[in-house]
Amino acid sequence: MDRSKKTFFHDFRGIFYPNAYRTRIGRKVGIVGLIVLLQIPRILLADGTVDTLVSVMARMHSTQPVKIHYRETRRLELLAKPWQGSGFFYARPPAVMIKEQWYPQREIMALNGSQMLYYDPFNDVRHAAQLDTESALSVHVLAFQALLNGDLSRLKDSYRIAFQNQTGHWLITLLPRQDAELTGINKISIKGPSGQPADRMEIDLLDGDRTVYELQAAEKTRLLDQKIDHLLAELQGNV
Amino acid sequence: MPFRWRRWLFYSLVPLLLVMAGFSVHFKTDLSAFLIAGENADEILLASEMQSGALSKRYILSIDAGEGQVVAPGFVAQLLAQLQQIEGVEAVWSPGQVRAVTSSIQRVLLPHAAQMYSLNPQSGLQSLLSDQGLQQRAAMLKKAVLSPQASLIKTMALQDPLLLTLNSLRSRFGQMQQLIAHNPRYQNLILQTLAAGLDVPAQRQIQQHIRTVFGHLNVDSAKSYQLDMTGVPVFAEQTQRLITGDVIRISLLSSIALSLLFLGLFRSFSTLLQVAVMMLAVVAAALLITQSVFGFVHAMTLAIGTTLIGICIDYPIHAVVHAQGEDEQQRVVIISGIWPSIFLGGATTLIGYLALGLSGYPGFQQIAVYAGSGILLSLMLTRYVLPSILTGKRSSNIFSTWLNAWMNFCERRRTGLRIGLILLMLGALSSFSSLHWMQDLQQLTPELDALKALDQRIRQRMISSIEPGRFILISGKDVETVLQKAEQVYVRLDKLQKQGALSDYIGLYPWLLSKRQQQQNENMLLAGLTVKVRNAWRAALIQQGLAVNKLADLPYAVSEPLMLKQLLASPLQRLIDNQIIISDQQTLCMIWLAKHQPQAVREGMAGLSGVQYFSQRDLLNRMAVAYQQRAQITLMLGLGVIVLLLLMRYKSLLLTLQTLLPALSAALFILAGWAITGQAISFLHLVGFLLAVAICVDYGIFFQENRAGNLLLTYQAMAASMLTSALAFGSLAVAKTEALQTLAQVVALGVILGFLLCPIIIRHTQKIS
Repeated sequence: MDRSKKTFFHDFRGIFYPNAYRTRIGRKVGIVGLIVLLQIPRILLADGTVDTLVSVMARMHSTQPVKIHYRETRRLELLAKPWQGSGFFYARPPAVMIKEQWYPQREIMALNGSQMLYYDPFNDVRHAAQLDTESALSVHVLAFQALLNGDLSRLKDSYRIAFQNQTGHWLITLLPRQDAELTGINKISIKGPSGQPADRMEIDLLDGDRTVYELQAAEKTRLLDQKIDHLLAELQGNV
Repeated sequence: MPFRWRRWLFYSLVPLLLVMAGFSVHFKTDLSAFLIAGENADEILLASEMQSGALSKRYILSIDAGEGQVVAPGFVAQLLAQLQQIEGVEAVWSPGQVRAVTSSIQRVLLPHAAQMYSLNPQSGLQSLLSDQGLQQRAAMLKKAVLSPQASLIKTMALQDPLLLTLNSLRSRFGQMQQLIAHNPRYQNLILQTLAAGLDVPAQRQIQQHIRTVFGHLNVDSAKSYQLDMTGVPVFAEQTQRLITGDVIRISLLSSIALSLLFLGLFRSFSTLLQVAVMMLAVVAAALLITQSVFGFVHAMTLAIGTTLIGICIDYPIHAVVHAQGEDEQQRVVIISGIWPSIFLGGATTLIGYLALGLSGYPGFQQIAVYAGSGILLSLMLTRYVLPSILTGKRSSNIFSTWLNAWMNFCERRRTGLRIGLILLMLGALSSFSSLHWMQDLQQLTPELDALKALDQRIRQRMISSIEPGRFILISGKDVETVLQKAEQVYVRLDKLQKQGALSDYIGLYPWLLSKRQQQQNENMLLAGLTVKVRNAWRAALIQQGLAVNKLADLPYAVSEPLMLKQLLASPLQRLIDNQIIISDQQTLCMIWLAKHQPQAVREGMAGLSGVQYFSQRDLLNRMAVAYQQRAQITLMLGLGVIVLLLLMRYKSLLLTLQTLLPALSAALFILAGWAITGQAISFLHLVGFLLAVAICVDYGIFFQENRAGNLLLTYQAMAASMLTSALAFGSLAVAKTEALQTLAQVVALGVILGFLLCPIIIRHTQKIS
């Protein structure tokens, strides 16, 4: 990459990350948490019983680290054609959520407590910021933490929740309670085969943009804790 | 006037004076007002802003989760919500809480992208609008659209496809990141109150509420987080607590000690009561005079002033020792007889206080007025009221045996003692080379060291590099002038950054530029957007796969410049209100500096009018040096005037020197003490030194003149005065404020030495008429 181009790009990422940028990153990281939680049932059990919101929530509750493979498709108004990416989501209750993107190029972002971290290995750029407690992100993070801890009432503080059992699958729809301008989200739909964890999540934004995640549980590994620690260290530049 | 009427009138006036003082005196406890004063209009305005402006109203609250722990976001959210409910809290936010800022950028800055994009459009615009520049810009736009901040970029790109808004914000967001704690163990919050930072009662209540809310939340959430606080209101509260404690402690101790001493000396409650009422009248009247001169009385004045009662009481005590037990007519005769000595003593002390007032130390100007008026009133009451109210029988002085023994010893061994004294004085003189000055005024308030250290720790968690006490200060008649000057300063600071003399700075840009610069930016951009450039942009968008129908148009147009009031009316206010101060006559702008080389920055600003490198610590130290120099001059002047007065009185150089020598010898030994112990001398030491000399001269006068014709009785009266002075000033030693402790040491030691040296130095042969 041309040196001046690279520098400008670095600066550009640096511009946003500490505030507005971080809100979006945080939202993504929050979504990581949600996706990981939605996969927990597949990992923990698959007994074929009729799903209810309570049973799905109970399955989501985890005290163990989790890893999910994702494929992301974004349809944006400012792009001539859809964009695709893929990688892994990680979560470690109660407070760590990580998104590790591998395609089209590696990027890592995480939420650790109230600290948000970002690392772009290609350009060797790191950022750290604190969670904006008044932002859409905080609404999402608090909600996902509620999910991680099986706290339905706290989730309901942030979203109106609709649960449907349709032919062969279940569907959860989350509608943000916050004003539209704050969250920027119109609707989050999470879908999964009956008795199975979620395999798809769609996020519809108020401006018409749309992101779809196709999810698949990654292989179990006893070394997940170490992997998460390693990613956090990489984010902090300690590797 | 008959004695009975005079007595009645006096006792009626005292309660009236007390009531008037109680209702009309306005007390202040802000230590900085007592210690610090700006030397020019800029510094005065700055000091006033720091004491009562937006900066003074802010706390930094720091939550510490403990080693290896992270602060839970839920806890912070709940804490923020509960803190906001506290009465008197205007706003509370996390430094990283920028939702409002983000929306303000879109609302306030985005429409002015064409005006705000550069500080120097001549150098950057041509490159940006070249074919290669536009291609790079389109590539950047694509990255941005695909980044997690796509929603924000989308809004921005539709109005500002070249993302010019980011040009100006780039550096600032990098800086904002430094404001946020990097360690998840900590979470910092900013809390702004409605009341001024120095409104201690209101701030104390708010601090209690903050602690209560935090404590309850900690318990409810089963956390064991710790809360630390800093900010002007915390320092103000702590200082007031310190001063109030000192005032109570000193007043109580000196009142009890003086009363006991008085009872011991005179064995008469009625005499104690009479003199105490006289002193109350002196204090009340002195308070009223000080209030009328300054419009307020500082609590430190009261603390030190209370001690000064110990000086004012010298005159009635001296009179009581001579006149107690005599009938009314005789009392008048006796007091009239010793009055010239008392008056001369009072005059020399008054000179000491006047010199104190001239030292330039703001608090001491008030003390000089307070104490000076106290001395004058005390002299007048001693002469004209005391003979009327004094009752009680003469008592034998419990110290008379010791005093007699000391005087006899001095008489017998005078030659030996004098030789010893000369040798000691020579020794003292030889130690003077070790005397050294205190260079840092902050050493005067070591009692606040713990708070300063906590402040430093909290700021390190929060601000990695910006130094709050050192900045570039720009002054001008209006906002536009200041902004234009600031733009010149940015250029020089950028140069210093490149040279490595400055790591970073925070100015008003990117939030605001002068109207002149905005106009220039706009003109150059609009002139540069030719058809050729627009076509090149369209081609770059197609090459990057971006939506041409949404982004090809470059909708930049002529618009009104962005004004300061627009920013101040938006949430961006929080980011800039600590950088600009506007008064009727002038406007100040502060550019905050990160790690830097002071000398290089100072030199870098040379030649810019209305621009100066400002260092709070340097200012304090400059003031310390100025105070020291003035204290030295006033000390010499004060001594000169005292010598002149004595010369006029005695018309003999020998008698004058004899009278002065006990005081000067005491002063010499005090200086030697500082030299030997290695104590750094501040102007406070000099002030104490001057007071000690002024008081000791009284003893020389009393002893020299011996107006009662009874040397033992005179020495007894001097002993009573000395003990009250030593006790009163000694009481200051219990203060936690080091400035008061310094005064206690110097004056108490000085008066004791001066008293003891009188019979050695002054050989009494005849009564001076």
